[in-house]
Amino acid sequence: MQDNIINELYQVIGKENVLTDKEDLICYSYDATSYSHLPEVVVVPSSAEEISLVLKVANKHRMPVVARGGGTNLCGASVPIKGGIVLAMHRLNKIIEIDGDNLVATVEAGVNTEKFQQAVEAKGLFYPPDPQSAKMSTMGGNVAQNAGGPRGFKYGVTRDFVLGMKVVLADGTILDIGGKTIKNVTGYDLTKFFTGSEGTLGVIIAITFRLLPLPEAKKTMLAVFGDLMDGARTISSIVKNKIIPVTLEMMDQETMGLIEKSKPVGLPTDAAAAILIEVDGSEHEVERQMKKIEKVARAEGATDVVVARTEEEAAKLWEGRKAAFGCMALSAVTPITEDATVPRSKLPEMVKFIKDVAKKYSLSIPVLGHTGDGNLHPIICTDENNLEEMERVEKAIDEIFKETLRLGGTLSGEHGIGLAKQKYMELEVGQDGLNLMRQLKKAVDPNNILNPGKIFLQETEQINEKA
Amino acid sequence: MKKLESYHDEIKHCIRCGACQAVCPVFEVMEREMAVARGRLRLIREALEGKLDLTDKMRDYIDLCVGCRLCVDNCPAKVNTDQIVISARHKFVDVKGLPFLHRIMLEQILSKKGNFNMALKSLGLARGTRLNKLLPEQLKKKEEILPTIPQRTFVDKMKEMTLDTGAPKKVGFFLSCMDNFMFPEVVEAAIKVLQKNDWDVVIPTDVNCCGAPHHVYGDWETAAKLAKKNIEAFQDAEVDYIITDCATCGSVLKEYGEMLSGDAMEQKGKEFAAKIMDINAFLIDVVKMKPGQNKVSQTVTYHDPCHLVRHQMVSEQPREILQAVDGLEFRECSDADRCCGGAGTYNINHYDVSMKILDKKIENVKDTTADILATSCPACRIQLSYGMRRAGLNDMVVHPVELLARSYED
Ligand SMILES: Cc1cc2nc3c(=O)[nH]c(=O)nc-3n(C[C@H](O)[C@H](O)[C@H](O)COP(=O)(O)OP(=O)(O)OC[C@H]3O[C@@H](n4cnc5c(N)ncnc54)[C@H](O)[C@@H]3O)c2cc1C
Ligand code: SF4
Ligand code: SF4
Repeated sequence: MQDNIINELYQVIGKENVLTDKEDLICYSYDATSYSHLPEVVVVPSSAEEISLVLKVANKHRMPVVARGGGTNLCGASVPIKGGIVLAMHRLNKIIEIDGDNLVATVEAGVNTEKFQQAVEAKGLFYPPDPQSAKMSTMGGNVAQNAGGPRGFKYGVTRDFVLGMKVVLADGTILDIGGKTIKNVTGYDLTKFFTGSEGTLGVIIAITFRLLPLPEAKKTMLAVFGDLMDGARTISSIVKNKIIPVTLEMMDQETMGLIEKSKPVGLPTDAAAAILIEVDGSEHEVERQMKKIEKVARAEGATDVVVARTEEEAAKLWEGRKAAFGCMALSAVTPITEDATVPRSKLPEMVKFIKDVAKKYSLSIPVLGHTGDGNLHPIICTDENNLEEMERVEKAIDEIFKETLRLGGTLSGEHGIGLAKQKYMELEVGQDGLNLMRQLKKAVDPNNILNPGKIFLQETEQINEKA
Repeated sequence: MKKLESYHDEIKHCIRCGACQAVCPVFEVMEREMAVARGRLRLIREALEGKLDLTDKMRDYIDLCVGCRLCVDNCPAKVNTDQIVISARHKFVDVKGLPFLHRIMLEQILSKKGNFNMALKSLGLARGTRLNKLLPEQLKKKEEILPTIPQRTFVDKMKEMTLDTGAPKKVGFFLSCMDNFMFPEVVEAAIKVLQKNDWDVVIPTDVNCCGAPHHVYGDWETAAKLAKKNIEAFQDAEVDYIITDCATCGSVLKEYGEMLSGDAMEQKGKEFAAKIMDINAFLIDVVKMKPGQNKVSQTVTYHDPCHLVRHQMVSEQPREILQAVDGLEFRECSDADRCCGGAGTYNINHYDVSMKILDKKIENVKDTTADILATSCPACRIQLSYGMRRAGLNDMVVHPVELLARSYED
């Protein structure tokens, strides 16, 4: 990078917050995928004003800028594929306000997701979105990726809780959008526009979220199946019976085996599948739902339905579930998590399809997912160094996506597009949809400096796929 | 010990999930990617793949790891970052030698008992004559970390003790440098407790430093030399167990087999390592100790040394000891097993980071409102005592066996 740009950055944010040594750059070159690319500089800001000044410098010099929270996304979204500046957001870590009277809270973008959840729960309040990476992701990253999680089935995803935010635009403008009210129809819904934009439209500084009262009671149960399809049918059946538990997380035998190998929590590894179910509400409501669920599950062929007796027992099962993706790492160098999501009624069909594809290409593809939403996470356990296998992986992914779309589903339920799923974008949104997105991006960020090369490319743009 | 190259595959199993960010104490206070396992592993991987030279900056980042193993416990892929970091330091020593200050500390002071003694004596003298007040500000703070140095070492005191009481059983005791020079009262308490439970204690005084500082800073050659001397020191002890009250010593003594791998003494190292036991574990699991009748009417909480809870998997036994003492009320501390930031000389080499980690620990200790803080490692004890003094609290840090000893009549 040219020295004059570095000098300008020194001036606006202080030398100690501008990192240029190769050792530093390496540490901000990756996320939780296997993509990587060195930035030219890492900047560690602490306020909207500083970020605004940094963006002004970047915009003047047409330097790419990639905001980075926990670097835990699963689609290459925070990899600075075109070099430029990485904005490390960790220092913006204040919970600004938890307003119990209005059931809202405002946090800075770098606040850790789990810390935020704990802080609101300590006040008897509830922020439901629960990406399984909550311990290490940031609220800004959650909003930028529109993260979901198991509880999405009952409560929705991050987007459903965002009321307002402070963003810095590509030219350095600091903008407050949305507000503190649940109802707000003043103009276009800009908060939703920025939510899920993967850092391509603006840098999120702070977010105001809607909260709920903490439910009075909750219980966790595990329904166990001798046949994977029985499990898949149970999910569809619970929904058909108009029961809305908080979560319906299915894990197949392979998944449970891998979890137990690395983090034993007592999952039934001899069963073909199990569904981890959480219900919440009033004590009475919880009891009623559990009985109904058990009945449905048994009718669909559940061999066993066990209820966690204590909070610790429940927490342990959830620890296992949270560790699932990581546990794949014990058996595979490159676990690729897919995120195909289908209408709930198509779930059994999709599960079967994935298992068939795995067989066809001789791949190990444990299946788990937030199945209540029809959101599946088949995890392809592979090794990026095995080029022959990677070719089969590519083909399998192609088939899975095409089938997802054929069933009326979507490429990504919650992990986003980033670099990983770009080539399928047109398949889902069509040429016209893509063009509209390109125009919107151009209007907000005419110089294409904000996380360029992500989600889709501008007409003349190219990226180095192998990077 | 394993060379860095042999960890290449294990490093590749880091899937960059970031889970270590949630637990790494250094990351918690520095909030930068190079301060967490994921970043360290990436730097090492790039170096192994020839994409990064072994630079001083990389060495600094590698040095920032306190070796607490919190990340390993939490890592889905079970990547042994602490061990990989040690091997990386060894690689640096191999290629670039020891940095000057480490060389003085490891080769001149810690390996030679006389010099260590002299260094501490000079410190005592400097303090006595208030010469320490003349130190530059940054050094003055570091000097304050060290506790009051007692007039007489344990070895001095031992000359007046009867260790052979003709008890039916006997156990070897590895005397750590820190106990000898700074906390002789812990060894005295250990002897008392064991004798009250009908065990005699054999304490060879020609032992050397256990080699932990040399080992973790990559000076494996000196560490192996020290290991051999220590094995020889116990040659004639005729004991089945060798215990220590120092968690750091214990964790490294248990590695002597591997530290001497390929050496003529490898087998002896393995046999020696198999005898090593932490004193808390020994008292509960082997001695099945009985506390005395005296009441100790105080409240106590406990800090788990990383080298005990995660390196040796001992966490229940010290608590059992504390709970067994009549009158003593045990209060669990939140995050009791989180690192205190002491880590041997980490608090001297990385004072600011170490103090931030320490302050979090002390906050949790304070919340328990316990009168006494017990811990099972002299290195933690030095750090925690300093933390208590910094926070204006009563400096009441002891080893669990000291409280147990108080329960017996003299
Ligand atoms: C083990 C594991 C489990 C996971 N489970 C789930 C799950 O259950 N549900 C789910 O949805 N996801 C899950 N994820 C994916 C990931 O955790 C989420 O995408 C999360 O929201 C990313 O947050 P982050 O802070 O790590 O963001 P990063 O990865 O750092 O960044 C993600 C994107 O957001 C942008 N960004 C970050 N901060 C800002 C900001 N302040 N302003 C503008 N843009 C910004 C970045 O540029 C990038 O495009 C999981 C990941 C892992 C490793
Ligand atoms: S927890 Fe383990 S696998 Fe995950 S990033 Fe850290 S070291 Fe890598
Ligand atoms: S051993 Fe401790 S300090 Fe080192 S990387 Fe792991 S958690 Fe961090």
